[in-house]
Amino acid sequence: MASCREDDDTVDQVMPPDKKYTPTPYALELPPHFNYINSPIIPADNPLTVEGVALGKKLFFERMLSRDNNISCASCHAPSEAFNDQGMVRSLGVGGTLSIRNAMPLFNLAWGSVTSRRFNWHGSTTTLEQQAFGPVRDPLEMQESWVNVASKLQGTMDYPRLFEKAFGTNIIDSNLVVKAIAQFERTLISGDSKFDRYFLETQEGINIPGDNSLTPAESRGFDIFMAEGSGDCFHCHGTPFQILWTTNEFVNNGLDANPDSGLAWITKNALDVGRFKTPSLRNLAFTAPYMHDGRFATLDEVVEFYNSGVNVNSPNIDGRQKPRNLTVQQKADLIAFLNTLNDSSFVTNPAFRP
Amino acid sequence: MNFKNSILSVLALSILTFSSCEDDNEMIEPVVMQEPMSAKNTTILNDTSNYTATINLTQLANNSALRMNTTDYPYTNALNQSFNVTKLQYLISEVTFFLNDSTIIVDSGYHYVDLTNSTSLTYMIKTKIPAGTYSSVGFTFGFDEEDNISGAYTDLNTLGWNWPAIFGGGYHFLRLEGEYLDSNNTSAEFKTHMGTASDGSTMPRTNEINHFDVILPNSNLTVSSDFSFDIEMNIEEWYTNPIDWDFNVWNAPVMPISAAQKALNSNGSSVFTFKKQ
Repeated sequence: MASCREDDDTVDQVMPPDKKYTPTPYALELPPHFNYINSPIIPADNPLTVEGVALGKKLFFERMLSRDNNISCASCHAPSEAFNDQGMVRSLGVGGTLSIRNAMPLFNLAWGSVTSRRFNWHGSTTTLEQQAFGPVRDPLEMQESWVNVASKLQGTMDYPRLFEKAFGTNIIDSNLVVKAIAQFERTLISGDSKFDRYFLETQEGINIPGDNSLTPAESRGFDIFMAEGSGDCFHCHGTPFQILWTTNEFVNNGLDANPDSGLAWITKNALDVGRFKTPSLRNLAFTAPYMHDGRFATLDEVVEFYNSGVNVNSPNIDGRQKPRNLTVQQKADLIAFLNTLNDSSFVTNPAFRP
Repeated sequence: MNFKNSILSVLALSILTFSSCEDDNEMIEPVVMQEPMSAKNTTILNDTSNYTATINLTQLANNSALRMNTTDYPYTNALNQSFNVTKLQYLISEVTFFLNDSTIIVDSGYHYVDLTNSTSLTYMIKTKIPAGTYSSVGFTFGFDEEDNISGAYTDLNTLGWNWPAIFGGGYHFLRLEGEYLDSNNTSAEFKTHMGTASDGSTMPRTNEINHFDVILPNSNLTVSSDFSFDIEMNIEEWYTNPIDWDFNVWNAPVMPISAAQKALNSNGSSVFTFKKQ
């Protein structure tokens, strides 16, 4: 195997030009209003390339990552559902084992490191690469060893060649697998909801075909969302200028009097008990059920929980969580607004399909 | 930029403001306000050296360093209500050096302080400060009306530091949160958020600018080398002088309450003190 370190001249002599490791840089296409927030952080040791993203997509849909060759990342993170698990409260691993939490949807993850620097409901990992190691060897998920995964991929016709194109080596190991998957995940950008178009028109003066104005109900719902003393959702779930519709902070929203350990499972800090990652409110139409354990089937249930169902004595509960006393009309308006954050072009994007 | 040339090029009593969005922390070019050249000025400008100013943002409560996330309630407001602090974030801008009666140097930057991020407790301003003897130092708490532009600062947007448009827009200036013992001696939360003052008694709401300018008492300093100083926030002062803040009335929410916002503005003028290094 030729190395590209010091003997490029030699490589030129022994390899045809089309076989050289010359990956093509991949430029993320950001919606124009995403310049309102800091740029995504791409790790210096895993730059996006066309070949790396393509390999990552193939691996994302690759069932050989699981012990019985039956489950891929996409099995629980379906592109048609904003990469959530198709209505499952908790996902099924190899042999039908039940995972402990609701599968998170996947989008705008390239900004995950810009804010909280932690991924997963309980903040178990700090990079997408590190995150991708987990499900393969998780006894409740893919139940496979990384040695076996590398061996299975190595034995195929396609993968050694694709790794060569993406990373300059046809020797497959787990570090390269997770790098490729992370590259693909960073391309999953969702920013074309009705509210995005409304924002682009009203804030940026960009004319977009179709009627992108908010209905009176949606507009009232937005005000409820933004008003401390009413819905007051924005302190955790962001503002129009914050774009992601989550601060990515870890908060105990008061689901239970005796909550799941949450972030404390990782930090071992009692002040983190019950704290979970604040999810984005984009694409809610595709990501039911809701909460880390999928306990709420509908947005009506979610809004009613925040309105009247919070366990105010839960440890480490965020102080905003107290009865909001919204009327029936206000709750309906709030949900109308939340549904302006659905991005149907994201869930139908052919670039994210196998 | 060459500060000396800038001073000399400025016309009498003019204020220069160049809009710039290229640098997140640079709102406008440094502003120099100057009266017609006088003999006094000329003397000062004979020294052409410029120096770096580093500001330490410190926080005091009960006359010592603020302790966060305590399980007890170590602090007391003017109404004898006990409280602790769990979150403190704030924004200052336009640090200003008063050279003498006629020349003011204004740094155009802003700085966001979050007590969970130790690097945010130090602020090295970009404008180099000419040698000289300064009568005082000041700054703007929050953004003034020229700079408090919704969505204008990507780093603050990323943090979700925006102030809702229905309450006048712009940005938060302060988030001071914690727990207090209420009238039943039960722990309750307060979230003292400050920004534009918005009055909901009118239709539509009436919004008023709410930043304030601070001239730090006893902040005279002589600059002859790179230098640093502390801007101390005295936590209890947010809740007194002149208005005694009742946590039982104003806990959370306070963003929509114009009187509460204005009280923070009034009380804010005695919150900050200067300490030489």
